[in-house]
Amino acid sequence: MRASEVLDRPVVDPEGRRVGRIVEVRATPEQSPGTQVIMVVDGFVIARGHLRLLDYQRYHEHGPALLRWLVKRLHRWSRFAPHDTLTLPDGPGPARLGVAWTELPYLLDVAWPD
Amino acid sequence: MWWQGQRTVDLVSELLDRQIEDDDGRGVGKVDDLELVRRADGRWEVTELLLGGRALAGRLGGRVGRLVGWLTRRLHGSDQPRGIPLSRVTAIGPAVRVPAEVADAVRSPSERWLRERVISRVPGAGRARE
Amino acid sequence: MKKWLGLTLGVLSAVGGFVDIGDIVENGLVGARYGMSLTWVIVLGVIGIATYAHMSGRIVAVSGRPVYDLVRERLGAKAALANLVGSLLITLLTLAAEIGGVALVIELATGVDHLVWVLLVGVGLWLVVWRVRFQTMEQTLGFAGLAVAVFVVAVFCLDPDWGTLGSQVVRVTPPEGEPLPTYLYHAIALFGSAMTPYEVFFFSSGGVEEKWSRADLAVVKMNSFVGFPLGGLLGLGIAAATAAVLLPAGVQVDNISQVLLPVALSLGGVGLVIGLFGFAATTVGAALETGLSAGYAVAQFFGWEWGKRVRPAGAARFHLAVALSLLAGALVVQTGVDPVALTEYSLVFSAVALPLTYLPVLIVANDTDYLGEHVNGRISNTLGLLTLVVVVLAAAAAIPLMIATGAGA
Repeated sequence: MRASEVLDRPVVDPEGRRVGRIVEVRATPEQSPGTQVIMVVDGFVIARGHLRLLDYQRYHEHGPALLRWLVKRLHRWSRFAPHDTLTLPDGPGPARLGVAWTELPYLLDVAWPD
Repeated sequence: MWWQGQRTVDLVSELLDRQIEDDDGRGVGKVDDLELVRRADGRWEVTELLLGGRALAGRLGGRVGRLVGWLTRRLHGSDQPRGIPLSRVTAIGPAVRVPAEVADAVRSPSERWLRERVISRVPGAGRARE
Repeated sequence: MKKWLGLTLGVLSAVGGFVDIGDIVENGLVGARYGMSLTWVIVLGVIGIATYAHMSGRIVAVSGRPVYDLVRERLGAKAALANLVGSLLITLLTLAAEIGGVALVIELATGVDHLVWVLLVGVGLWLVVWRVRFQTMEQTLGFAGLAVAVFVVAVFCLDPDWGTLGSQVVRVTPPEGEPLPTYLYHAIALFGSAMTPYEVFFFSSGGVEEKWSRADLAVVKMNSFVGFPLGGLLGLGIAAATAAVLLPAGVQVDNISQVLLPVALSLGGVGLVIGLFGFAATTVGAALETGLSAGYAVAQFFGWEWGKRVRPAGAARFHLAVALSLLAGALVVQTGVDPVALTEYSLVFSAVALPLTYLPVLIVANDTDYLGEHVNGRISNTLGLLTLVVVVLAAAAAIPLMIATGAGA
C-alpha cells in the first residue's frame, strides 16, 4: 500500500461512525542484531480536518510560539491511534478502529512530550 | 545514525516531499510517495521511497493527478514509479541521502532522453561555468 | 573589495522587487501623483523582504535547501503545486514585462520600435543563462543596476523644496482630494511587488549556486540588510525625482520616458544616458532573475537537478524550463501587449503565492533540525509574523481594490 492511500483516508469507529481522517503516520526504525534496519509503523494521527501538523508535533519548543499555539489549538481534538487499534482495508473504504474513539489518547498528550 | 538519533520518524513531516540527493549532492528526485507492506504479524513496514511522475500523480489525486500520470506515461512509457529500498538510504535529514550507484539506478528516463537528444547537441552544453 | 562584491546577489534580487520595469513606472507614477507619501510602504516592504531573505539565506548556508524545497517539504505536494501555479504566473508575467522593458529601453536609446528588439533580447538572455557564470552575471548586473542611483543625485542637484518632500515622507494618508481606495491600491501594488516571491527563490537558489556554507552567514546577513535596502532605495529615488519635478508641474506618469524627465532636466544628456543605462541593467537583471527563478521553482518542486553551477547537460530539464519561459515571455510581448500592464495583472496571483511561500520559510527558519543554533531569534520571528499578517491582509484586499479602482486609475 502507498502512503498516499493511507493519508487522508476516512476513519470510522467500531459502530461505523465517522471520526476523522488520517493525517500523519508515525514510524520507528528498528534493528534486531545481524539484520538491516527497518522502519515499522507505530500508529496514526487522526484529525477532523485536513490540516497538516506542519512539523510542530515533533518537539516541544518549535517556534514561533504563536504558530505553535495555533497548530496545537487546531489539533486539540486530534487523537493518536496505535497500530494495533486501526485496521486498513486493502481496497478503498474507511479505516476501522478496533476501540472506541474516546479510548484513544489525545495527540497533544502523545506528540508534545514536555 | 541515519535517522539522526531520533526515536521516531513522522512520515509526512520528515520523509515525504523531501529532496533525494546522491553523495555528491546532485538532485535525484523527491520522496513523492512511500511503499508500505503489511508484515505477517499485521504491522506495517515502510519498505521503499517512490519517486517520479507516476508516484506524484497518486499523491496529487483527482484531475490534476490524472493529468500528471498521463503526461508521465506519454514521456517515458512507464507505469510503475521508480523506487529506492529504504535499506539503501544513508541519511534522513533536510535532504534524503542515497549512494551514487543507487541514485544512478533510479535517474529519470526523461532527463536522460532530453540530455541525449536535445541539450547535449547545443554547443557549450558539456562545459560547467563555475 | 571582496566584501562589497559579495553584496551584489542581494542587490540583484531586490532589483526584481523594487526597480524592475513595472516598479520603475509605478514608482514614477506614485511620485508624480502622491509625492513621497507612500514612502512608508517601501520601508515596510524592505523590512519584510529583508527579514525573509535573511531567513532563506541562513537556511541555505546551514542546510543547503533553497526556498522551493521548503515549500514542497512543509506544505506537501498539493498545496505546493497550487503555489507553484500562482508563483509561476507572477514570475512569467513579470519576465514577459522585463523582456518588453529591455526592448523599450533600447527603443528609447535608438529610436527603433521596441517590437523589433524583442526576440533578439530573448536570445541574448538565453545566451547569458546558457554560458555566463552565475557570479559574473550577478556581480555585473548588481553593480550596473546601481546606476539608477542617478535619480537620487538628480534630486539633490535640483534642490527641491525639502520641507515639502519631508512632510510627504512622514504622512501615511493620501494628499488632499485624492480618493483613499486608489491610494490604498497603489500602496498594495508597491508592497506586493516588494514581497514578490521570485526574489527569495532567486536569492536562496543563488546562495546554492555560490555554494554558501556556515562560513558565509555574514555574507547572507549583509546581502539581506544592506543589499535589499539598497534596492529599495533605488525605487525611492525614482519616486523622489518625479515627486520633486512632475508633481508640482501636474504631469501624470504612465510610461518609462516620462520617468526619465527629472534626470534629463537636472543633469542633462549625461544624466539621461546614465539613467537609461541603469534601466537597461535593472530590466536585464530582473529578466534573468525571473527567467532563472521560473526554472528554479519548477525544478525544486519536482526534485530535478538544477542550476548554473552544473554543466547544462547535467540539468537538462532545468535548462529546458528556463528556455521555454524565455520563449513564452518573448512571444507574449511580441503580440504588442503593454509590458507594464502585465506586471499589474501579476498582483492578482499574489493572494495564493505570497502566504504559501513565506509561511514554510518562517516555519523551517525555526526548525533546529535544519538550523541548529542558527534558528530565528525573537526579533526575526516578530518581524516575520507581522510581515506575514500584512501579506495576508494585502493579498486579500488586492483583488477587490483592483476592481473597485480600475487598477488605480
